[in-house]
Amino acid sequence: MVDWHPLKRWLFTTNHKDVGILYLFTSLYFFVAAGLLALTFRTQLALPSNTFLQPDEYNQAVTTHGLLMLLWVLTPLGAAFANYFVPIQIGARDMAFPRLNALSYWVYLSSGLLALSSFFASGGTADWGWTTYAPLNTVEFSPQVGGSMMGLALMLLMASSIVSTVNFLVTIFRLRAPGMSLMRLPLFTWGWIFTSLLMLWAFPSFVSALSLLIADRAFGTVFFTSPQGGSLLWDHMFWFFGHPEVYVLLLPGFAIVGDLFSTFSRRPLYAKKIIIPCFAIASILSFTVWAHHMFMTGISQSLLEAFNITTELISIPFAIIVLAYILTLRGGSIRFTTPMLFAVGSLGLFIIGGVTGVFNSSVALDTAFRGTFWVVGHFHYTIVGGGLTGLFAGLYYWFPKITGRMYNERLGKIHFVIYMIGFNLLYFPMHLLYDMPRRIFTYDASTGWGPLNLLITIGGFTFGISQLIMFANLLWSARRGPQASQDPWGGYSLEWGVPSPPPEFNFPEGVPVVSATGVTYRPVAAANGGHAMANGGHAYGGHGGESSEEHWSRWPVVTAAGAGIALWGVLMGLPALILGTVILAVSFVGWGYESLRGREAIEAIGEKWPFDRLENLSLGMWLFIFGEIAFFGTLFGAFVFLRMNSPLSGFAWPQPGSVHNIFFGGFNTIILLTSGLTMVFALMFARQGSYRGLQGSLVATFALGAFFMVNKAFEWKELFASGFTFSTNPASSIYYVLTGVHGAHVVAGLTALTYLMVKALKARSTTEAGASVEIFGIYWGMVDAVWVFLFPLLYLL
Amino acid sequence: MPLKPFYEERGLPGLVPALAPSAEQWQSLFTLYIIAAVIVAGAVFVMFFYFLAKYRKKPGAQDPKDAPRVGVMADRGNPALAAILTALLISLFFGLTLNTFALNAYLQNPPNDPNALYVDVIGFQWGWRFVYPNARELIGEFRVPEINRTCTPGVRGCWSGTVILNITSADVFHSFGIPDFKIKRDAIPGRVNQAWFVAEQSGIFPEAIRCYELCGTGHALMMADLIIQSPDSFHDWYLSGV
Repeated sequence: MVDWHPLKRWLFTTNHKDVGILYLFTSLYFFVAAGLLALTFRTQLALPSNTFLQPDEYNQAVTTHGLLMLLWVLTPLGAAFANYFVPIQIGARDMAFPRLNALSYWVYLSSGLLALSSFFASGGTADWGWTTYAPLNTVEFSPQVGGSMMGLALMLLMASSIVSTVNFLVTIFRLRAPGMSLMRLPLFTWGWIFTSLLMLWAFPSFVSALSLLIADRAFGTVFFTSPQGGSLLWDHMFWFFGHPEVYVLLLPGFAIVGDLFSTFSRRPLYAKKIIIPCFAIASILSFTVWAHHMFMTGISQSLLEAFNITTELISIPFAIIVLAYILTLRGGSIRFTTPMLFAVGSLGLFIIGGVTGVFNSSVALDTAFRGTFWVVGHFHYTIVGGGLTGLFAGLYYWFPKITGRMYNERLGKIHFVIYMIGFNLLYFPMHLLYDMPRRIFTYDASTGWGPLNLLITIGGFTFGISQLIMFANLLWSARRGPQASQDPWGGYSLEWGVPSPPPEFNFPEGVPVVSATGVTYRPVAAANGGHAMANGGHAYGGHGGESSEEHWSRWPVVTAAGAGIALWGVLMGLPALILGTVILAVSFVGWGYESLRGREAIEAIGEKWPFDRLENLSLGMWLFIFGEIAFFGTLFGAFVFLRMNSPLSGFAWPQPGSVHNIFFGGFNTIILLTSGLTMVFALMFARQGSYRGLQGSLVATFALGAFFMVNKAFEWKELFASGFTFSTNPASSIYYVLTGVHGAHVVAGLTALTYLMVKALKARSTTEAGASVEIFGIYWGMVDAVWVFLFPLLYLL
Repeated sequence: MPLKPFYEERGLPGLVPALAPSAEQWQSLFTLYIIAAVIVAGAVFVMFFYFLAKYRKKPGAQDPKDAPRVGVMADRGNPALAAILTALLISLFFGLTLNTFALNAYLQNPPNDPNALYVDVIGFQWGWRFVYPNARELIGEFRVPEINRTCTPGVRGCWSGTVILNITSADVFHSFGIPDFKIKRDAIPGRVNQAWFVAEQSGIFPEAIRCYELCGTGHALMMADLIIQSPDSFHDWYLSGV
């Protein structure tokens, strides 16, 4: 008889620590995969005129290495720690939405497998570099289906990340323990707040860029093939995401370094109240620097000079943080154990990367650096040197907490020394190759680049092999290492106040209460001022014989598998698409049978500022809408770009009324807005407890929404018949994408509405549906509001 | 001293770079940035390593009084330091930026030179096409005249040595670069971008022109030779092919 229990646990778990471990193993797996890819192309470049890789293989290896490392390794490794430790650090027993958390992980895994399997598509995977420049990314120049698969995998990953950011932000803002004010949060949690905010704002704009790319590749729209859009449209959209993305990669590791400097020097963090605003300023500025990736594109010089200045300014908050970290050491008693060594290494390498970054801010120096190994050297010093080294410091630091055992210190130190030697051999010489183009698969001996490239490759293998020491050390120590105490380092964040590894619900002694003098634990019964909560036993500590299995859900893994298999249909054909869709449909019904709140009854009992008045679900929905604004905002930006660029490139945008029927569009607008009104009625009836009124207004909303979609379908049909198709011109392309994406939101809304109607019908009361109606109302309002912008944009201007 | 690439120091044969004022100016700006970087990063590293060495744990040492413990992190720090650092960095950046903008103005604005040679540069998968004013075309090699200070303005056939490039692409995104001259500009389909240079020394510079944006499988081989001729021999060649 096979014991399915462990397998079931890992498949169905919703516990944040289990999910964290899943993230950890998966991201390290992708780290090995992407690292091996790097070694293949470093082998190719070791010698001039080498023939180890073919050009197309080389390009695929470079592209996949970049995408995997950035999106499937670094952020998820940070997410592993965030999953495991953020809830403990804020004093919560789990995430706000544990099932969504599991869903984020499984979708992440399924997107990664989709990305890797695109190698096996005929013609291989994406080969256009991680920056995916247009129009090389279009079907004309890169017809391979693997490229489209990579695009879909990226979309799926973005969906996973966006869900995850909403979850983390709600968790951190709403579920803090009593006394855990925002300023008392450890730096790592603060770093993760800003990472999440950056992801929530930047990732949706990448989704909109990918939507246009996939529309071009699959439906023949002309965004990146026409001169009105083309290279520059992609550049703007991509880098608006791409630059904040580099801070997404840096911040988690960089924040860990701050906590470690304090812990291992036995001194409080210097100027924490300055460091946190600096994180905020850097996060905001990160959205204002993207065009420094476009210095050579020939766009307005005064604009580029402005970007030159913003790029210099963003180094100031980082310089302040670096100074604060260094001053933290002053007067301390520094212990150089492995985590501290990696933290010191991370800061040192980041300083070098930061200084070369100032060179890159110069619009004039860029005439040499753009597209060369200098840039490669620079960003590896920041992202690998600063970010990854910081995360590895975190891995050693938290290893005893996660496993309850100590790693081998001597092997850790050996790893550090070889890591640093390998790193600097690998990336420093790249700065001297500031004439050598990036991403070339070969070079001639006469260029003189041979010796440095050989050195770089030797460094690459040294760096790669050093990681094996870490893996061996950690894998062995997890089973055989000596027992670790609860707090081997003298850490200050709450995870060091609970056993190693932490029990199921984190705080066995009750609710942590934080004050200026330290942390105490309030037994659960007293947690709510002696007033037992509805789920009092559930809140902390697992009293009342609660076991984790009660929280398992099978639907996250099933949904993610369905989505992955459906998208595999691109490669495998219709059967996979159908199978995946059926699995997805089944999982949606399954989710419907689970109570919306039942398994996510993580009640806020402590600090909730500044969101005291919003419920978890409403705050989650508002944050999601924040992301939607970025998504639609970027699409509107694309519209404006195409429109402004049209006269310059000799395309006459259609006059209002010449293509679209303004009367019909206006009629449909009124229908959609009326459905917003009926939704308000639904909310009113739900609050008044009028079951009939609620049911009636929900049905009316559904009918109006469906009517809107039917009209839309007729409109599309007419337009197609009149010769205004996806590929007619930029005006038609953006029309179909904007209305199509909006239509998809309406359809998603109608699906959710069906749930609400079924729920209200089954319960025959408004209590169960009340909160759901409110949350749906926010979403439906957003869908209406988007159309209020779309209608004049598409029909009247 | 400007930092020179590894191979230049070796003085390997055939690797003498072509000379141009744009490269000299670039090198002096680069040197300025290097000096600033070495001073700033040097100061930071000295302080960093000094603290690491000085405050390492001594045997038998006690923790500092305000050592963090679970749930407690004392508050300290001086906001004035952040303000001072900001002011210092802003004044440093002010100096660097003025120099950057000056060089940028030089690189971006071709001189108003009636004896300049205008060449259309068209990137394609995978090579460079050079179209001269008299419709002569070259692929894979680029001939230009070296500087000639004796030209009478406006006299036809007298090339001053100023070369103004109108760069575009026939297919995908390329980037046109002459690393010896520190000249670079993206070659984008549907757009024409301008760059310019003056070459100071005649000679043949194999594969001195390269593509700096991944443009497909032939990216590494998308090169052209640069041939800088004396004004007379350039003019003879220029007329010979018509």
